[in-house]
Amino acid sequence: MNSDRDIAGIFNDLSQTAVINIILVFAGALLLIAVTQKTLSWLANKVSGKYRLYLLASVPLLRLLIIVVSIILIVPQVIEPTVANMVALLGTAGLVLGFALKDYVSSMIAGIVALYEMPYRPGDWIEVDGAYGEVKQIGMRAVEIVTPDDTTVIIPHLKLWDQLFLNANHGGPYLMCVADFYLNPRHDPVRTKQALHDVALSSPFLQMEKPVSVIVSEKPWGTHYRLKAYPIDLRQQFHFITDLTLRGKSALTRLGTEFAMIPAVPQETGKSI
Amino acid sequence: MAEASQGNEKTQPLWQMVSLADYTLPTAPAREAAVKGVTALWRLIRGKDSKQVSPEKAEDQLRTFSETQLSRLSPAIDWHPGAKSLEIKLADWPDKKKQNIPIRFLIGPPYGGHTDILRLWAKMHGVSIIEPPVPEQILAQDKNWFSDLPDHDRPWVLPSLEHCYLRHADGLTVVRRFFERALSGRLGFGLVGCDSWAWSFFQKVWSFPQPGAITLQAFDSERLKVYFRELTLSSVPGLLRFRDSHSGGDILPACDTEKEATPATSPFLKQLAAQSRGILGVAWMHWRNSLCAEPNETPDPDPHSETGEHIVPKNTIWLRAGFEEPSIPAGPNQDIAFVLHCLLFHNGLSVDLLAELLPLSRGEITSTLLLLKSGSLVEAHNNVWRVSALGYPVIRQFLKNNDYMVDLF
Repeated sequence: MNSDRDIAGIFNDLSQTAVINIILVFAGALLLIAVTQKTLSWLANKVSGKYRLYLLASVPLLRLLIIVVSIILIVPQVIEPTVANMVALLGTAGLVLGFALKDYVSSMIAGIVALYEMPYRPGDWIEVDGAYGEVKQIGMRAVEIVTPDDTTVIIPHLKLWDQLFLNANHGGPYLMCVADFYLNPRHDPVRTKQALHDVALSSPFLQMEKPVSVIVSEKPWGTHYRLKAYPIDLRQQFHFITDLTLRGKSALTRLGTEFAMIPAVPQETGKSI
Repeated sequence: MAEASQGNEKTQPLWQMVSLADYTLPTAPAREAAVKGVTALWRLIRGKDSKQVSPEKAEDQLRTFSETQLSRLSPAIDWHPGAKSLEIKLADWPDKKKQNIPIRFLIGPPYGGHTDILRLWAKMHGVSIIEPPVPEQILAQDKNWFSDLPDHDRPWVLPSLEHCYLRHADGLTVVRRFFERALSGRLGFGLVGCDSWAWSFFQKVWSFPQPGAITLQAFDSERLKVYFRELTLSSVPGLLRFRDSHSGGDILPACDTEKEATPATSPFLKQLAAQSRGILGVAWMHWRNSLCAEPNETPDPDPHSETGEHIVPKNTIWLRAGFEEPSIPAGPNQDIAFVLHCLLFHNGLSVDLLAELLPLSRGEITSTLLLLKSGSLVEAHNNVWRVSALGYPVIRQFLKNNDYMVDLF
């Protein structure tokens, strides 16, 4: 009972003015978050390249800033902000939340860590649990990505603790694309490599500030060429790979290079006796 | 490449060939740059099709000149002085005894006149001019073109290297072979002209050394002042004043006397130099488009005009302040960027070749070109589409903003 009284004792008597202040700060913060989010996202769609990424990345940071400022403004209205009072309040709140809303709170904390460590930012292309897409929004609890097939995937920040997050561009404007070519092993590899290099140079999607490379490996069924290059705009990556593939196939056909044909292996249909 | 600092302008030759590292880009006056930035932001927020701020009232009252009058007031650029400056720069080239660099490159931005200068230089020296291969030869990787190259003993000029390649998987072999032979000295002494965009592409593709690459120095405001004054004196002697319609200040010193009785006070030429990036062809086109006169001013009759058309106003020629810069039209941004980038890389292409090089259909290319033409950004001559002189600065900025590779000029 004493303990209950102690906890209750740390709270101020809320006057009508204090309640109104809290409501105003809370509503103002929500409004500000909504406005900054909408405005910056809209503005980001008006530009491209690194400016777009900078604008998108500033959205969650601004939101965190607004939340922190709001808390700083609200807390003194509710309690006397002494060290003892804060420890008592946070300890009790932590106990309650730890049992009742463990995953939710864990996701929120991971979300704050994500804002600090930045394993993903809006505009990044990430893969988590087989879902690949562009980060559209980083919420308090989850990150929202949109796949190339226009499907929205909500991934809780909680996964940050124990899952692999593959980030293709990591906040930068460059993202490597790979076009694969599978060729019959009987061909001129030097000419083929040069032809594929020129294929990349001829693509209007190519970011010319970044290098082009052709990696070759020999497989039991033929020769595997990997043409690696970067698109100008991250959002063009699939069109870029398509363009490389089409141009590559045309160039290789003109060279007279044959593509690998893996013979069909008849499957065993009969049951063993 | 460097940018000129304001207030640090020394008297330099009007036409000057310099190494690429010494090329100095004119900068805009600080106020002009700030206004431009704010305008760009405003247009971004308002939408890409929003028009620029309407001109001053006085400009509505000004009369534009007819084509004939414009040809008289601002005749086409004579590139002979450029060829003379090239001759001075290459005074000791080629000289086998001095073991000169076998190949010299003259690089120039679009409308910078490098092709004209080289053709004139070749004519002055009686040197043979090599024409580029036709597109079919380039795509077929035809080796026969090399047999047309002169033997080692005679110097030669290739005025437009940008027409020796196509950005196609089969379109790089010819120019690659050319570089291999030329830079190794197997083709003897040669002077090669190349557009700055194709040059940037070659640098990114092969990054070969570029000893002896030179360019025509940018025309800053001082050079433009001298150039336009000489142009006017030679074409319309006796003309008095060129005034800025916005401020009323004089753009050129008085043209009828040797002394600068009315010193230039208008920032027009500084703005023009920055706007045109120091490219004479672009600056000339802006100048020509800005010329106008007061409608009530009685012009002097032109004694040379067969039609009796009046040419020369008595006292003052006005130049519209605030250049009428075309804007990139609203439309599929990617298609527009692809077409413009491709045109710049090749310094002009036909629709057939654009369709060969771009992942766009002929219909998409044609509609994009017509859209750009309606905005005065491109123009066609003999079925070859090219970026317009007036549109070039804004196109370059558009491509740069969208992370496309741009030239060094």
